[in-house]
Amino acid sequence: MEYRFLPKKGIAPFVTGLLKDFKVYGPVEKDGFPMYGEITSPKDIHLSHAPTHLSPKQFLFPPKETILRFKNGAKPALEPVIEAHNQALFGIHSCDIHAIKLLDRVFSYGPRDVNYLKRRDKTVIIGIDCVPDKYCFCKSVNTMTVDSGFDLFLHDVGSGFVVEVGTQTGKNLLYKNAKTKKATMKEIKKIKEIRDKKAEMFVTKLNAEASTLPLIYSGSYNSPVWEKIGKICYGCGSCNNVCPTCYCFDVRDEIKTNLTEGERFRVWDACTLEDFAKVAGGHNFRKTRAERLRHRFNRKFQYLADKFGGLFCVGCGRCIRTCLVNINIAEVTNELIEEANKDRS
Amino acid sequence: MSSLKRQIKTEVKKMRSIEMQKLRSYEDKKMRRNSTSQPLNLLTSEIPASQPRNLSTSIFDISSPYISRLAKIERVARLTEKERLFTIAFEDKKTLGHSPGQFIMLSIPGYGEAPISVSSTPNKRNTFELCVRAVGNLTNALHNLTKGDRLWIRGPYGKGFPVEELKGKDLLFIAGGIGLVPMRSLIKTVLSERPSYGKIKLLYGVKSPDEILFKDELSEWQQTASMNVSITIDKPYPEWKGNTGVVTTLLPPLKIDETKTVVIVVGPPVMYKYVIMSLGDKRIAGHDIYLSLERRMKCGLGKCGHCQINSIYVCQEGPVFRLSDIRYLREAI
Amino acid sequence: MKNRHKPKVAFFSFTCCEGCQLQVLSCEDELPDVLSLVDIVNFREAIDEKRDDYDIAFIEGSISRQHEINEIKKIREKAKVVVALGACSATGGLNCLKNRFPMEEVQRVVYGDKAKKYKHLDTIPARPIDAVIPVDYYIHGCPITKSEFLYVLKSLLLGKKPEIPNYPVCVDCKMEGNICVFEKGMTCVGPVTRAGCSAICVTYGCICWGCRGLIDNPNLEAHEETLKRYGLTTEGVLRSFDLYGGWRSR
Repeated sequence: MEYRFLPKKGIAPFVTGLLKDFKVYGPVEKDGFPMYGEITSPKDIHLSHAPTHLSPKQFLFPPKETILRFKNGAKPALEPVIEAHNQALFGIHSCDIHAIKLLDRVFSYGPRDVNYLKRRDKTVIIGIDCVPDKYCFCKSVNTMTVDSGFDLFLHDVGSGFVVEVGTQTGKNLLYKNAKTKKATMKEIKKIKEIRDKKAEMFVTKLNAEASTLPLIYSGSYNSPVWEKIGKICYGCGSCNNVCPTCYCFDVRDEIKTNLTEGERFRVWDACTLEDFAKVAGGHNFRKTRAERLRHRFNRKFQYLADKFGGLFCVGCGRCIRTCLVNINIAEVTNELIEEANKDRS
Repeated sequence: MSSLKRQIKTEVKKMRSIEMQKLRSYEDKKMRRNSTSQPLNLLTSEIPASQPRNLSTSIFDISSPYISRLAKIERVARLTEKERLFTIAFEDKKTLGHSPGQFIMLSIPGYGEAPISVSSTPNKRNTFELCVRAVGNLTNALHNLTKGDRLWIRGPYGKGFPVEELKGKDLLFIAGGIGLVPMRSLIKTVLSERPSYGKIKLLYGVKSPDEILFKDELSEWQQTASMNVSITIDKPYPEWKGNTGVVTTLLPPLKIDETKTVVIVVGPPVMYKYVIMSLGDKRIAGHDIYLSLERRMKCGLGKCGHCQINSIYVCQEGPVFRLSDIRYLREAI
Repeated sequence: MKNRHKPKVAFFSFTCCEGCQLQVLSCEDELPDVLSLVDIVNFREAIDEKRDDYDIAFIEGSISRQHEINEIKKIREKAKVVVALGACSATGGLNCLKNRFPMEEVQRVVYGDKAKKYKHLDTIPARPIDAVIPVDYYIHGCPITKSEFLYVLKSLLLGKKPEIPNYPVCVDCKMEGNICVFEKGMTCVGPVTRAGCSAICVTYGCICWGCRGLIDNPNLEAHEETLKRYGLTTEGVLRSFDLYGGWRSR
């Protein structure tokens, strides 16, 4: 583990350097809110440390992505489309780095998804420390800190950034584009101090150890909480779409007006939408909003933990912020924890 | 100062050891085993110091799993109003290489792609059969195709029936509607080695007489292959002289040796619950019952999420399951 | 898939601003291809020719006068496929706002005191075309999106049933990377409105007015609560729902 010190004024030249080799995406401001967007000059960057409304998964798993091109007719043809370019994700928070590590697992498990993996391979990740807002609960799901999955990680220690080097690629980029010096023990110590302070800042918390959550969820299938939240849920898919670990997609064809050529593309799909589990014959395996929400919450805390290992909720709080009817994944989980505790006593 | 230094050193050491542990963990090993050519470095932060990641070229070369193979329709047979049987061959003359119960992803570009179970028995010829009901855009388009038309196939996917395990057993097949389609692949496989199996029965329930699939084959199986076939129609029809009632009504009078019978059930979602209860009455172990589950599928690769039942992806771990493995899997049946 | 005869397509317009027809005409890049696939035999906005032997009728506008009922019924008899083109036609659209008032008053305000005397100035409550004739497919929106019009046309030519989204505008909004209008201190009806517009209004700084009609199973009770929580009165909630949904909530 290598720690370098980068003065605050070193950020701009560093980003300018990155821009020579990469498309850079990072925190920008949109309508006064923190978002991830393309950065064309260091001036675009808004290092606000506040969580963004949408997750950076869009740069690895775009909302709409062509996967094949086809041609019908006398000489039918089908060719794969894999679009990937060098890109740097700048200013990614630890929860989102954890999320990307989970997506890496999903898309490389079993038959490997080249479209994702190739893009991932051409991506460098530069993390940054953040400050939790009222919806964040990463501490409760052990994603407040991250020790791998990034190429560089910036710790704001007041006087400048302590840059944690995660990979050789990251190191090369840092040495090439910034004047840094070896971080002092005092500066490195500051990381822990700030981290400890951050740990005290959470308003949203889960009332049980993260490791117990899969079991709590497996016992909660018949909880009245599902009907309760199902009643107010829109089934709008917003929680899925803002989630950094939701990866479900639909596949559709688009044919040109010559009716012979076209593309097959995939688009984000969401398990809370009405037709998600409906088969061609008409049967819907999760007909009610309550069933679909239960499926979504269980995916985060139980189902995918069984399949891929690790909770798929990284505590980013985005689904809480986005939900117009105030369905709060942390509150729901706490209700289930309480029910479980009652059952035990 | 020196004590602080030591403290930080131990802290860093601890972090490093945690990382190393993670690297060695089972999951990572498994993942490396799964990868074909080179290990996918990005899954860990472990990148050899001397070997910077070359970002302009890819470190691995695998083809898109969404690409299909071109195939040609050799024959179309109209089975009923809604179902047709397509005999298909790959342009490259290769075999499909499936086992009974598996499915393929069929594409007609512009109309989409859908999972279709293979209806023929594995063979060395380069053709295979798909029996398709016209229910949506893709299947309607398929019904408009004729001999010589081309389409795209990828697969086979999923886990089929455990053919070897069935040897020496009495077999009871229970099919509802188009559930006979994937089952036919298994039945024909079994009948091709008829002496290796005990008694074989088929209970087949359909809505009306004109929906009976593979009529000729059913009577052939009954007459020449010493297989007992019972068909039932949901509701009485004037010209129908056979059984009426849902398929479960055929079960109570059946004499089954529960110690050596394996049951294979394929039908619409609503059928399973009742058939399973009736089989319980017959004291058949959940371990000896196999069923094939239908779900929406968009990728066939365990990615798109549509076929997921709890932590199971039907396209990868199914569609054929042993009942005892999924009886307690909520939402499965 | 096989070469069939060129289908004949007609466009008709009832009570509306004809903006959806303009959208069709502005598909400049695609029109040459379209014209090689279909014959347009009736399209007042674009051509002089008027023939009655059409296969597909795209009908724009809502029905708001007695004689329009007879006219559209004739179209239905001739057309094999009828497609509602745009909000007025598909859901009644803005025209249904007049249904809140007595028809005599509407007639007087628009045509003056003497309007009653003239038979051709009659007016009836505005309604979507499926209140009068059976409709096969719908292209929603005020105005329609070009891409959806082309998608539906291509689907019909391929013998496909067009698949119109049954999920709310929130999905499109998130995919476009928009900040939620509620987050910005405004309100909209996106969570209950059918998507397919790429959330164009919100993307360009407005709100979702609900022009594409409701999804199949909207949670209207929940949305009423939400709108009230964000400061709307009962009257305000009704106004939001009724701007484009006047016919439905009647």
